[in-house]
Amino acid sequence: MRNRLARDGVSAVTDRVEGRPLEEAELIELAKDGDVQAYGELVTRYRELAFRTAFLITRSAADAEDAAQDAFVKAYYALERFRARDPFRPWILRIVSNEAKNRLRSARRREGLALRAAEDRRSGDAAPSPEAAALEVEAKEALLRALGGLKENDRLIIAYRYFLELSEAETAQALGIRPGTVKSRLSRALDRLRDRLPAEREASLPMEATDG
Amino acid sequence: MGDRMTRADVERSLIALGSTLEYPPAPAVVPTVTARLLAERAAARRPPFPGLALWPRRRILLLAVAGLLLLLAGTAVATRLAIGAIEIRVVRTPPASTPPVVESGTELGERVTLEVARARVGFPIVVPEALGPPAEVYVAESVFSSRVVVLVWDADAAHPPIEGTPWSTILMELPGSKEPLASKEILAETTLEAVRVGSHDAYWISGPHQLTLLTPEGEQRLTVTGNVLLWEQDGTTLRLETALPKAEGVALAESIM
Repeated sequence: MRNRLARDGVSAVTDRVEGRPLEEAELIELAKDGDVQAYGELVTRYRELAFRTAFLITRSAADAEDAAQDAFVKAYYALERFRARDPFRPWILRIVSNEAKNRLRSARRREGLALRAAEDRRSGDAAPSPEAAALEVEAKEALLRALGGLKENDRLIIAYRYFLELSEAETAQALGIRPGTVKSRLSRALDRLRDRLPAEREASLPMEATDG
Repeated sequence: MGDRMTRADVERSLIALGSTLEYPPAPAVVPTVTARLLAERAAARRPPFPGLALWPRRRILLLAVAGLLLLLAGTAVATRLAIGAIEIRVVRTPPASTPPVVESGTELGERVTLEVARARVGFPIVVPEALGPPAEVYVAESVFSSRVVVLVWDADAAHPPIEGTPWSTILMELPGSKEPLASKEILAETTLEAVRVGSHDAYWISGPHQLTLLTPEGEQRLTVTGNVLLWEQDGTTLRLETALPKAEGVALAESIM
């Protein structure tokens, strides 16, 4: 009567986890066989990155959560198309970013960029990096505003490379473009970002509206 | 106009910005994702091709439940799934409108004999062979004119008592129903595992959680301290609560077959 996809695969993770943590490839194979727990372990490993990616696109925690959740569910069913020799990270990010973009399109209602840079880390135990200290608060805000005014694809390629620190190859896979075009696309995105930034000597002046 | 920032400046600024960006805390998507996949499987409705939108009707229900609980608790519901007449809601914080009561005889309904219970309910009552006849039998009213049966067994050397109760085992049996007769609110941290009872899909839930019985008078909320196995067989939804670990709990359930 019922679908018998699970077989006994459900317990595979717990049975085997005592010896050593399963490799990603093993988890993927188990998940392909219908082992939901193994898939849950994969989700655990990528949930933070998926959520951040979705948040960078939707700029809403609620939408990002929904997008990440839907993406992980869809990815499970798409696993059979995943090729074992490919890296999983950009593959899942591509699904996540598509979900997030869909949500963004269906709910274009937010203004400005909800992202904030941490303003005061002095109370924390870790000292800010020299780069972070060098970037003044207002410059950060200007950068965030400028990013917020960019088109999705420009913002995403910048976010992948500089915020989520994906390699060029991973960025290409996550965006579904040829590796050779990452450099030129990134270059054009950075140019458009620079166009939106105030000149250095006027960095403290108010920005013109960049929404649109 | 001043000079435009150089490309290198912009890149440096972006890297610095990336190291200080604040993200909201990542939500616990794992229980909700696995719960959705398990619910899909339980419903034997795997989409014929990947990427198909998943159970739209349930999504609508989910939105309704989420909206309701948002109003009630101010927090979001992640998902819900159901086995037979019991629906499971994964919630961030337990709803706390009424103080929950620990299961005890008086809360479980009217105490009757097994024979009377069999005569009163409209479905066959099953008993795990491994335990023998129950110590006590209760019949409770639930919504939609359905009756729920609760069987309890005393603790003994092989069957430790469930915390807060004198019993080793509590078996709740609910008739088949298209609408939920009871719901469970489990926290994202509560362990929810897919297991098998014989050939039936089942959930093993460990960790304290709440069970809400939908009765004609309203909701009756029970605090569950034992481990719970939920499954459906022959149209009856079965809920077995035990202090035993998973493998033994499942073996006990399988003695019903």
